Amino acid sequence: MSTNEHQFLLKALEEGLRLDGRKPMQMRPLNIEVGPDYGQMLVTLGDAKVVVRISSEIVTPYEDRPFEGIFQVSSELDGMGHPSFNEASHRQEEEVMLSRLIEKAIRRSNALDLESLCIIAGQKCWSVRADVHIIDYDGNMTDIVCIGVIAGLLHFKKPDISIRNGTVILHDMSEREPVPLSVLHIPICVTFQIYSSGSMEDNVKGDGREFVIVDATLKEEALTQGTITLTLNSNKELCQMSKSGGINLEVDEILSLTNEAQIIVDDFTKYIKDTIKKDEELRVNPLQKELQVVNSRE
Amino acid sequence: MVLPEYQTSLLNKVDGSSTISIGEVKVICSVTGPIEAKPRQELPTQCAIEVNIRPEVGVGSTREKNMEDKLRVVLNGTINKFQYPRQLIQVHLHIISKSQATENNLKDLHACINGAYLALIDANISLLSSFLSTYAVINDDRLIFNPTSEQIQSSISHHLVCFDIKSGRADELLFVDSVGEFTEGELMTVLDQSIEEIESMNKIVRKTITEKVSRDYIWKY
Amino acid sequence: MEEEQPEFIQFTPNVFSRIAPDIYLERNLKEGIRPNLRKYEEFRSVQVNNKGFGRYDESNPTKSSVLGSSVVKVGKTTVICAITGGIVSDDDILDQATTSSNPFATVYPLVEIARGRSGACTDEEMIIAQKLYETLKSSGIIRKSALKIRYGYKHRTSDDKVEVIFPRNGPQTDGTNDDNDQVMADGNTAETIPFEDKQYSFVLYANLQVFSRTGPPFDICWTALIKALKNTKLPYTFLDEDTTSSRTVKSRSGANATIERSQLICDPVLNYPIKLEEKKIGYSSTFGLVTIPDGEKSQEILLADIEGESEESASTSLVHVVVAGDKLTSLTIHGGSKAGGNGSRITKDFIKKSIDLAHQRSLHLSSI
Repeated sequence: MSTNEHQFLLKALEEGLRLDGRKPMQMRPLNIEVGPDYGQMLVTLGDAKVVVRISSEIVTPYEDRPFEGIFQVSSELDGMGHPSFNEASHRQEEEVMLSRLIEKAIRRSNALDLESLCIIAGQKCWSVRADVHIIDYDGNMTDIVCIGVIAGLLHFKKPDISIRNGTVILHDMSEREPVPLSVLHIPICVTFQIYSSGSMEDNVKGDGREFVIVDATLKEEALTQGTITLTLNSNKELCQMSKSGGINLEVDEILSLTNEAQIIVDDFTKYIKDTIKKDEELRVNPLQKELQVVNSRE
Repeated sequence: MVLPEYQTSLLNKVDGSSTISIGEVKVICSVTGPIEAKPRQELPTQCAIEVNIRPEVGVGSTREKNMEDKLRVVLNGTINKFQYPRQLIQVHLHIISKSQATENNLKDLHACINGAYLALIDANISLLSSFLSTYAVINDDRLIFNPTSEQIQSSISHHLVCFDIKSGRADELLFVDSVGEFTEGELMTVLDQSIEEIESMNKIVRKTITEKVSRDYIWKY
Repeated sequence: MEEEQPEFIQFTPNVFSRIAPDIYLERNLKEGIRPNLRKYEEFRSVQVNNKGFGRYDESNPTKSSVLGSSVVKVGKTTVICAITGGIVSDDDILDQATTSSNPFATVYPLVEIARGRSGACTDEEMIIAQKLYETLKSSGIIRKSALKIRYGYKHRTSDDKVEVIFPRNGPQTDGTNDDNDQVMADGNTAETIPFEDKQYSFVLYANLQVFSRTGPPFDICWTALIKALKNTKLPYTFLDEDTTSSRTVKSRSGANATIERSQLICDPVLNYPIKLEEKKIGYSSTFGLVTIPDGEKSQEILLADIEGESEESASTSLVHVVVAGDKLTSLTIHGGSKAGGNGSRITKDFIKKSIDLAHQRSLHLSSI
């Protein structure tokens, strides 16, 4: 990015203006497109897109955790998302940061009840896997991947099983209604980028003025001087908070950011739940879809 | 004939992209190029072609490597490689949902070939000719194009045929992959029928490409 | 002005074939002979050595884990194939791919092409391994039932003697399951033994080592794999009550669970040959198509069993055929005449001709 563009963008942000016309605390529009299979979706946040696929299989549990199932998240960046990710070095750094945050936000906050995945203690359990592929990279990957994984888990259904004489019988989806996963709460990440009007020195002394935006695009992210990610759920609980270096931020500011984040989280939680409910209704009654199409034409 | 559903230009950071759905199989394809090649890929007189296929679940394995190799054969024969010396054309494919028939991966490959064609056009890569593929099975002595997964599972042989297309005619055989149990005569029938299938498919694909190009051409009067 | 006479540069055949493989091949073919001194449609000679280093080889009984082996030499290239095995419990496999209606099993091959240094496996190795895996599966040579295990039972009799009891009809299933009629190793019928109804199967792995690669090695690997499978012997297995272990674990909520582990033991001597579908066994051939300019027109030549750098890189059009009896089980054509500038247009006649030649080759290979 040229120095000109750099300064222009920063100055605009300082005045509370963004290239795409958003307000500083406004998210890009979120859209979730549900695929034909359970746990398959395309999540779009502005221009950023990820493909999520949840899958399950029956495996032997870990030796030291015989009563728990297994849950893995694998997110991958490649040249499809952005040509710069062809360089392994560039990709690895982003990937590590991303997977650590998602691990903290979803796995360690116990969003998925692992004990409910146990089938026969020490012998059989479900292994749930979330594959996230970033197909269009436009900043703020943490938030969109987190939304994708949690929405996928809420939507996913695993085939029903029964146990006879110690053998597990897997029932086909057409034979028995598949069962949803037990998701305990819905953590959602909100990432803020922090910029400072003055120099680094001013910031440390407390002279400069900091300004914060939510849901940065790729360009805005490239200029960032500090990042903070808050993970909350709709019970007004903070699940995870991470601020790794960058410029300093006043404590009061963090509190007000938490309140801003809560509004966004409530909004998204409602949207995710509504989308999944709507899809569920369509699956139960496919005729409804045709009726809707007819209605929309009228 | 079952027509594939497709869409182009859905990704922003790459030069060309497409999604294609054939039955239950859905593939996203992106093309970036010509870009700078890594030193070990660089060829002095022509461009290098890199193909990456990601499976539906997990990371790529030998299954995807084998599919990449087959797709590269098709692209090698159609991309105008001498137009881009010492450069690289990168093709990424992500199989969003794979074929339910686990017998073989020809249906997935079929979607990949046609998806790559659309993405290459979207990326404005110079091609020597158009190309399309067909997938057919022989089931109860009947030749079925675009089979469903039940038909695939009960079939004796499977054939993926790819021809290049010049002036609306299927011209030259680019790639054939046949597995199962079949005779030479059956193979010849498959080839003949594939020509017809590809030509009629081309008429429709070409129409939408023409529409797309005129829509993309923003400087029109 | 006097024009300067350009100097001629001379190369040895080795260097020439590296710099301009297409011209090198063209000059050779114009003489009517290939760089490797073979005729156009002549295959390399094949030597197969089945006398191997397996666990049950009469000449060489060892405790090795190799169940079948072969050494195949084609021209300069040697491929060594060793089949090893493992045992899985059938209810461990619940994924779709293995529980599907497909009645055929395959082996898991690992191909290593010696190239004078070590490192991560190359794309070619992975592709050949995957091709062997897929071709074996689709050709239907091994039925899943051929790998099913009917195990015996080792226990202590009342007078503290150890005996092993095996199923009456031998360890191999033929699809019909008649359990609970066991026979002692010496032939006497035993009283009912509490056989667990847990099902086990063998999984086979093939380790292929390719030395002195001089051309596409798939054909040789396939031949080596088939020849090794043909002499593969599976061990008799039995359940030993002494090695069955169980332990109890407690959950956080206080519930108890017992984890049982039982082990199948392979008999060191008793074995049976694996049942293959002999009729479906076929062999593979690879052909290259080369175009050489001949005045105004150009001439297309089909080369059988391509070998050497010049043939491999100059013939961009390749045909791989696997033939079993009068049927084909796999066929791959890599076409595209514009690719290298000198590839060839694949016509039906060439396909027919290569299938004919592949038939003859397959007959020859199955006779040795």
